[in-house]
Amino acid sequence: MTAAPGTARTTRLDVGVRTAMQALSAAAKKGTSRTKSGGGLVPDEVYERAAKHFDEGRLAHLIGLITAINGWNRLMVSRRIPAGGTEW
Amino acid sequence: MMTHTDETTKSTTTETTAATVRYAPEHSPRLNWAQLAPDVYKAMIKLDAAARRGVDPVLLELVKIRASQLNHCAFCLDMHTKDALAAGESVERIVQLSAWEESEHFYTEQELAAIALTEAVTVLTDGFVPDEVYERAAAHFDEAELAQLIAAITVINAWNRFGVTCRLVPGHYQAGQYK
Repeated sequence: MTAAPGTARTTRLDVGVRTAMQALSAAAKKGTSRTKSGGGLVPDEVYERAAKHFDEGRLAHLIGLITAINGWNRLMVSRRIPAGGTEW
Repeated sequence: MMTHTDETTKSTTTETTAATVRYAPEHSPRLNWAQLAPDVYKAMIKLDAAARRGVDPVLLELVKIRASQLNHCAFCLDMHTKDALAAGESVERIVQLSAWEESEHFYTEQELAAIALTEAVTVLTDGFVPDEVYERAAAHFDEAELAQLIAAITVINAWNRFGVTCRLVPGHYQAGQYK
């Protein structure tokens, strides 16, 4: 089935996905950069620098937060949601 | 340490040599994030379940494997290649996935559109998600399917980030372990 590009770009998120993403973000924020996707890995010095400033529980949540915003970025960029847009 | 006993039979003789292959030592995970942030882990499980709804399971594993290859998540590769094989996926299609643009005849047009979208959404900082990639996917999936597919790609990217950052150890997963 073909979706017209103009309408497909504003495809709304399934309510279940949206709710789950919000729950994930909320969960990650309880603990509280720049992230590059693809390639790289996370160097020891970067990880250890963070580990010096956050205890394990806070670090686990910080990683959750970074991952959650990476998720939101992908959901918005892939569907080209306009800046300031209220429909997503 | 993982060791592996290999019996090599020389074709020219009947002599059999038993050799022990020593692999590099196994690393430990940096952080057991699932235990340290159980609320986040549970939210991820729910998100994963929500995202996979309506996505063809064969396609889903291809998406998960390709994103994990791009993100170099060894733990997720271990999991999803084993799950794919257990579900009947062919070794050839899994192996060729890392060079899919040169082996398109291993995949359906719909799978190729989804794999291309996976690639673009995963390497997001290399030029966003190009129109031609998005429109190729939109030609093979209706809007609701596309929304689920984008969510599924996003979720495996999230798992990959946890796996790589926390350096989760591959090799111990058994197919269907978390299902």
